[in-house]
Amino acid sequence: MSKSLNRFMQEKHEELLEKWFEQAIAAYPVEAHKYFVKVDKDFTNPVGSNIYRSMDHLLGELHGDRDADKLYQHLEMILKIRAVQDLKPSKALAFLPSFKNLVAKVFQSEIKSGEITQTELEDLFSDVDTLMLIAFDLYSESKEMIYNLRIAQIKEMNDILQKANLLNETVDTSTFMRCSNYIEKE
Amino acid sequence: MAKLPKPQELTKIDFKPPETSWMDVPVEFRPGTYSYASKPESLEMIGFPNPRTWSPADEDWKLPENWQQIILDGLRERLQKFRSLKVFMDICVRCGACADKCHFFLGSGDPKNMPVLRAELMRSVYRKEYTLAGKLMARMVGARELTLPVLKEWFYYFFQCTECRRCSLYCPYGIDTAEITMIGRELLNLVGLSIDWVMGPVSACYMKGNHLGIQPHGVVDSFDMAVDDIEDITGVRLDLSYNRKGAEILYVPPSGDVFATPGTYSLMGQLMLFHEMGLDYTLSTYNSEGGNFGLFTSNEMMKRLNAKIYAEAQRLGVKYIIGGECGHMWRVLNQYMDTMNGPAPSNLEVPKSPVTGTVFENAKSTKMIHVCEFTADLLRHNKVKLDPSRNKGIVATYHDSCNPARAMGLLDEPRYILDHCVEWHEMPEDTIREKTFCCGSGAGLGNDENMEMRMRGGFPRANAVKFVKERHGVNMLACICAIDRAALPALMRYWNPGVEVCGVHELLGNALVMKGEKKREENLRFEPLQNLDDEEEA
Repeated sequence: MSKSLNRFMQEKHEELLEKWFEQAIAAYPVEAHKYFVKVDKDFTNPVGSNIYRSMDHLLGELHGDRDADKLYQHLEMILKIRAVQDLKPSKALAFLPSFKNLVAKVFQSEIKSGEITQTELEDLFSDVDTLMLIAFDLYSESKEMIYNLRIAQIKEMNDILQKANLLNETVDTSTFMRCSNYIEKE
Repeated sequence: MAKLPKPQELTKIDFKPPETSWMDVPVEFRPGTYSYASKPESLEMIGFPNPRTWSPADEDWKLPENWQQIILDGLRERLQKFRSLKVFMDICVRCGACADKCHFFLGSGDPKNMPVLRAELMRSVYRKEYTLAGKLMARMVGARELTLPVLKEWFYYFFQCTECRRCSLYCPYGIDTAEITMIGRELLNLVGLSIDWVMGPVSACYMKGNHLGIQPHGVVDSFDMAVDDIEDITGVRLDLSYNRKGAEILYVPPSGDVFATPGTYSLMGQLMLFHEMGLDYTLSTYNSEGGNFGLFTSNEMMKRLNAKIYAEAQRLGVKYIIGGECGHMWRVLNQYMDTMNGPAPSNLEVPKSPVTGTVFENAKSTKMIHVCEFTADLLRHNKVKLDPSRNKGIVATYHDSCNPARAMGLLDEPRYILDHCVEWHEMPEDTIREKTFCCGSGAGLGNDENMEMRMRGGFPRANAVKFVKERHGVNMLACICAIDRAALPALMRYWNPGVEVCGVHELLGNALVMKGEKKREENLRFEPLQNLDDEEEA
């Protein structure tokens, strides 16, 4: 792993982070921007502050040790948030590949002058690609979790109604199970 | 040939630039973000209009031909009837104080989840129909006609508000945005637009007295199960009475605590406490629900469902009523019952604790007190023997359930109970007490099909829990609302795996030392007590 690219990224950590974060929250409606950028409000701006903090850590890892466990951990929160929002998967994950473009732009002159080598860049980009694949896993896992929670709730309701002897023989699954379906006809 | 977009372009298209006015952005009914429609049989049971099978995702909502007229007439009638609504329609200066206070907005960034804009959905129609400026200048003054897309927008967003009233807390004019949602839903109901998770419980409650539609013998069965479990755990057999005339107190729990875990554990704690105090109370199999989904439907429906509480208290001739750990039930009881169905029947008296002699002057009018008030008073007078070590291993935090916190100011009593029972830690300041964040599933939105929206809306709450989980090792989220106890477990599983949910009285029940009890080895969930290890070591 190259030291010079890492050093350049460390030096421009703040700039990279601000620009990267801006790209990430560009996915949200413009009216939400001015609230989501208040990243110091941990509890009254949970989306903005969590995404910002996670990106901060991710960036630190990318120009640091690139520890797989830590990268996974910091990605997780972002993907959990995005999996329950009105974003298509492509848009939810776009902040990762767009990071490559950002790096290329911010270090344009260093890349041109050869201070940052092509090998270093390819190495970083390859790791970002891996992160993209991990992010895809995390996004899918979050969605699966939502479906599992739905099923768990349906089963719990079913158990309650069964215990109360309120289940009919024929089960109308057209709108899933709601107690009102199974009220005994009087 | 279409060109592939760059990743950075992907983050922008569709989203950032909508230069179009908010009025021109139609809603999209994407699965996971809306609730299923009410069923015709539910509406028929309570005599509501336009019962039919339909789905919000359908193009044709099978509305009556004159639906616009029905809604506009309904709005006019309510503007004349409710002065508050008229004020709320006129007075908002769109200062934006409420904008970032809604959990759905904070979780989604959808501007129509800003309370001000959610209210504008209705205000825009109000202006067009009932103000001169709106009639003459329309869009210039934020007025628009009630069209089908507008109606769909109403449905989408009025059923995306949990009526938690956090936004109202910050409004400098005191606009109660929850009441705007309530009127919005009431108007939608005039043309048969509601959701199954609301109307199912409403019709079941209307016919059988509780949200699940469980009949009296089923209610008794459920209490019997709780009594059996208590006996297994403590060795003490409780003798409950049902529909007993002449009892001093009528106890009304939310039915969620009677039928579903983890609410049942909290109910067990309350029954154990009542037994230990020798309370002369009775349960009603007809009035087996304190909750009132009428609140999420219409004023009239809320009144109809609430009426049974005083009716049953009168029939049984009790002196006063204790209500259980429920959320929205207390908004109805504390803010509306008195005017809707009061004055209280003459057999009712100002609640007075038979154990401590405390007179609950705050309930002078309604004659009904919250079980946490009752318990906190007992603790204050040292009337309860507790062994908090039985809650060893539990590190709790307390979620202020929206309605008890904001609609009745019940803030310190539950905390006082926790102080006596368990190690617990507060969540950050902006997320507790009056400023508490909603579970994201109230007001009838706690159904499974709406799960994605619930996780989104519940994120601000979960985020604060995450903080105390990481800082103090919190593993239990205590609350005093049955909807919370139904909804928060899923929220915790998604955002904070390892954090369980309980009622305050479950922790009290664990710690409660009862006369004649056997050596306790399990908590109310039949899990081994962790303090036993200490005893063995000693």
